[in-house]
Amino acid sequence: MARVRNTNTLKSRPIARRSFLGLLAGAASASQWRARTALAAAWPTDPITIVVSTKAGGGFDLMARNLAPALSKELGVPVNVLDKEGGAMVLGTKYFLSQPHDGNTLLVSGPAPYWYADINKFHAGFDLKDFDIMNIQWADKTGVFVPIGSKVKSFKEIIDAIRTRPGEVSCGVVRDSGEFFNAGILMDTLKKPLSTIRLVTYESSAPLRTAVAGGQLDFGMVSLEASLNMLTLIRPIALFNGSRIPDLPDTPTVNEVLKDDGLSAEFVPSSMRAVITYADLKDKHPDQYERLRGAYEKVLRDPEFQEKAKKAGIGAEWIGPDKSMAVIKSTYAIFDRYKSLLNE
Amino acid sequence: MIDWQALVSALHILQGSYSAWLLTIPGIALGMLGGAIPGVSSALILAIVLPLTLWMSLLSALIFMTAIYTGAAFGVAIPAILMGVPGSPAAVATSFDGYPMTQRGEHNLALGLALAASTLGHMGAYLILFLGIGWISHAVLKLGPLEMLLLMLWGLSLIAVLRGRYVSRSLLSGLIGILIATIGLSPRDVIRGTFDIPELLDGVPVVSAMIGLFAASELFNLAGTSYLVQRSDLRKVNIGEIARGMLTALHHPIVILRGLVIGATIGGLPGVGAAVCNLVSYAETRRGDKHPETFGKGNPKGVIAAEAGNASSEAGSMATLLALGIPGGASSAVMLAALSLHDVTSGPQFLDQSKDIVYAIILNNFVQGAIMLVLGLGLIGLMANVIRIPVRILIPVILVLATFGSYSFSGNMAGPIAMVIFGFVGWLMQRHDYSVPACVVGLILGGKVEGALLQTYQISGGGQISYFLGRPIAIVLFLALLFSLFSRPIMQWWRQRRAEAVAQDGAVKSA
Amino acid sequence: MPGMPSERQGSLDWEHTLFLAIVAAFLAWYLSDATLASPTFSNLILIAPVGAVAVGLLIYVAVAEFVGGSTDATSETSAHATGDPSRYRGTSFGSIALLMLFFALFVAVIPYAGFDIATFVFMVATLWLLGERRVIFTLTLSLGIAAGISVAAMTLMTFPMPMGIARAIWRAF
Repeated sequence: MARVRNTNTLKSRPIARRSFLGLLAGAASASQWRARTALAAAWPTDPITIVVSTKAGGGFDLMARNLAPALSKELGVPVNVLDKEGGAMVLGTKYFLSQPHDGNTLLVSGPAPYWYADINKFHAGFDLKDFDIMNIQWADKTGVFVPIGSKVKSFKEIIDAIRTRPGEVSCGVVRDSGEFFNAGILMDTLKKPLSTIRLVTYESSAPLRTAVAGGQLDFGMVSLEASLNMLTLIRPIALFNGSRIPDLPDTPTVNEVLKDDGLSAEFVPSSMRAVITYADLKDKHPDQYERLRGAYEKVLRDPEFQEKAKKAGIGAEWIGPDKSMAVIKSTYAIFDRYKSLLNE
Repeated sequence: MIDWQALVSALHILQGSYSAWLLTIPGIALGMLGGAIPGVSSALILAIVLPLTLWMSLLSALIFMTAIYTGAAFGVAIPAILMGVPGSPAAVATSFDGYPMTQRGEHNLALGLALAASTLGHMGAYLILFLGIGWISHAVLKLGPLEMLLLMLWGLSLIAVLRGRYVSRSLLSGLIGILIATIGLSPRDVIRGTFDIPELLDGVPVVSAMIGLFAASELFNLAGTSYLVQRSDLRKVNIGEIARGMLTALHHPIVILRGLVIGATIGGLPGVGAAVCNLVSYAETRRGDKHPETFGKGNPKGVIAAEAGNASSEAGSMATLLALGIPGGASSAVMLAALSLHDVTSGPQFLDQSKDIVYAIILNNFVQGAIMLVLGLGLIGLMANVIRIPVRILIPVILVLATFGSYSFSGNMAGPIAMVIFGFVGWLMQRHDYSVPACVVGLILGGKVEGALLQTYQISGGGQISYFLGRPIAIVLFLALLFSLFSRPIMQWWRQRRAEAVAQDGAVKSA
Repeated sequence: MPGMPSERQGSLDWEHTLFLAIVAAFLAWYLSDATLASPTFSNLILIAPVGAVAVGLLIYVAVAEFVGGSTDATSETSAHATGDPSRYRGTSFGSIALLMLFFALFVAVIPYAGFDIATFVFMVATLWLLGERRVIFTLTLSLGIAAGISVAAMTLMTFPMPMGIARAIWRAF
């Protein structure tokens, strides 16, 4: 550190005596100096930017903003969050791809389910292989919610109602979300066309939760963990997951409910909120990649961060790059089977 | 209704937090200045200061952010009145009567009206919030897609009355506005009219298009003129006139009350918010007035209604944010992020557990109203000087600022490009008497109307009448809408017929 | 309405005809594009009825234009639609067209020249076009606005804006 400061004073003293034109020339030498110290010191030297492909205030944004200060402490440089929403995550993701692939930019986005529609329906111009999914930090589950005052006691009652009163039960989902697919898979499992329920599509989860809380819908399917702050207004009656979760020990999984009818299905996860980098970063800048991955993993393994995340209601799981990619590929395989839902 | 214990505790908190009070003034000033640049939204300013709030206490952060929100809600009215260019959809209705007033040289009066209406709307709506935050948030929950659709149709009905010379042309431009608003990804994920440009997936950038339509239809035509206000004797800043405007606003308590009730209740509806409030408030005031034909030509009541509806929508969105944890719009979404950064899970339990903080925010907002009055007076005294700047200087400066604003709003070149295209379209429309305001109303509401219409269709099982009959609020809204649309023409027709009958009678008798 | 191009009874207004043609082309393109994208009820729930009424109105306006009697002209006009005609007297069509051209060019070169340089050039050109002839004033104002915008963009904006030289100068200080 002392050496760096020394260089600084040596270089800046002559600049102070220069004229305005000389100052412009000095700017060039200053940037040379920056480049040299950048080589000498350990990466990173410049601020890191986390691009978020949704609006400020959503689950993706909250995850990035909670991660940023901790990552900044670990890496020793400021970590900024940049929200680039729009076009079902296409715009933010494309913006991220257009940045220099040097590790100074990270992406927080939803490789599943949103990218699946982007790639297969909206001709977004990117593909899964352009990215290295560093970690799916927050894989939310689909929760089935009813208003707090609803007479419905169990998910079984809803299934029975769908069967006995076709075309009368209303269900809210966010368009093209994991919940939307799960609604389709559920109806497929029940051997009913999707039109058997009144499927109401919302643009984002906030108005959908409002609608469930207000009793506008018979039930709503929405990301579970992000809804836990509303448990005094909405009540979970089932979740689409392999097993029950510790937060809601009394809420059964959908497959538990379907078992009575001898049915079972493979569902997709809800929003996968992942920290992502470029596919070619590992080869082009292996040091940078390892530094980022190591710092990020360390943050997530820190009990203090875990506690903070729990308080803020944010997922903070570390499963690593290999497992993350495997999860996404297996999810895409399920999507492929239900691709026709995208054109419903 | 009022939790006295929490109230006392809130007073204690406020007494002890100097930093929160110190932040109120710069917050309001920042919001006002930012809001006065067309295209710079309160959400953008809030996003810029969000990292700063990390170093503040939760209360200071929330107070700082609501102060920005408060300031910006009034700031957007300034360019709407002085140049006919609303800074955001929330100030569209303000320009309808505010700008014609400026053209007549009544800019001082109009700015005073707007400031007083804003302040009163803001404070009144927070008073409603104070009395019944829980009640308001639950009222919002009772509004389903059908009710939202009816509310938006109420605002949309303006396209029929914002007419120029030809009713047919105004209607046509309103409908074209609606169609343009549906470009992009539909609520059912169908891509329409995007030419495969990903930037258009979210549709035409509405705010930039709006600024283009308004700015161009006025600014381009001003090229070659000398000043915004033609008569040099009227071209001055007059604090006395501003004060007179503020007093005039006090003479219309019903207009303000109507605006603030509309703002406080529908301002918090997710996805509806301030853009609809000012239009509905304006439409309702125009309808209820004895001389609706004077609106759009510089009727002070139009400015009051629009600003009261706009300013009070902040309280509405704070109600849903604090009581339900649901952001009503982009600005409250950023505040939600601030809550999360302070390790607070917002939601119903936040209101239960931290009612003192909620009260402290509300109480601070009363004071914000008073501060805004003082700061706003200074700012409009300063900004009103715009009319003394020659048009040849004003035009390039406004165009550059608006381009900057629309880039900052969309985050890419889509905003500025839309501004240029719609600038040209707006100029053509204006040239041929196609109502630009009608088109803008269609543009702002079109996408929301489609979403609500589709949801209503879906939720009612394909439009079954039984769903409609089971919703009393919707029926009341529907009848009120019908009344608002048709009562006047029917009354007129009836009166005319009676007059004719009397005349005929007279004719018969005299024969 | 003296001074306004709205006295159309009798002779055909070519400019308005062109405008109607543009509107017709937009309607034809957009309605067919939306229908082709998905000819389902849920996709066309708003577009179809609004489009139908718009087409009807367009035909009505066109007939009124060609046949003559613009029957629904209201005697009262809104200030927004017309303003005070005398205000436009000094405005030549040429300078408006040039202003619009300058503005379009300004936006078009931003991604290449950057906000800073584009703003400066646009300001100078537009001030000159609108009749400002004080050289020092023009240059100072243009530089001031360009610098102000650039500093705001680099310090306040949460996302980068295209810049020509401003970023390099900023770093040098």
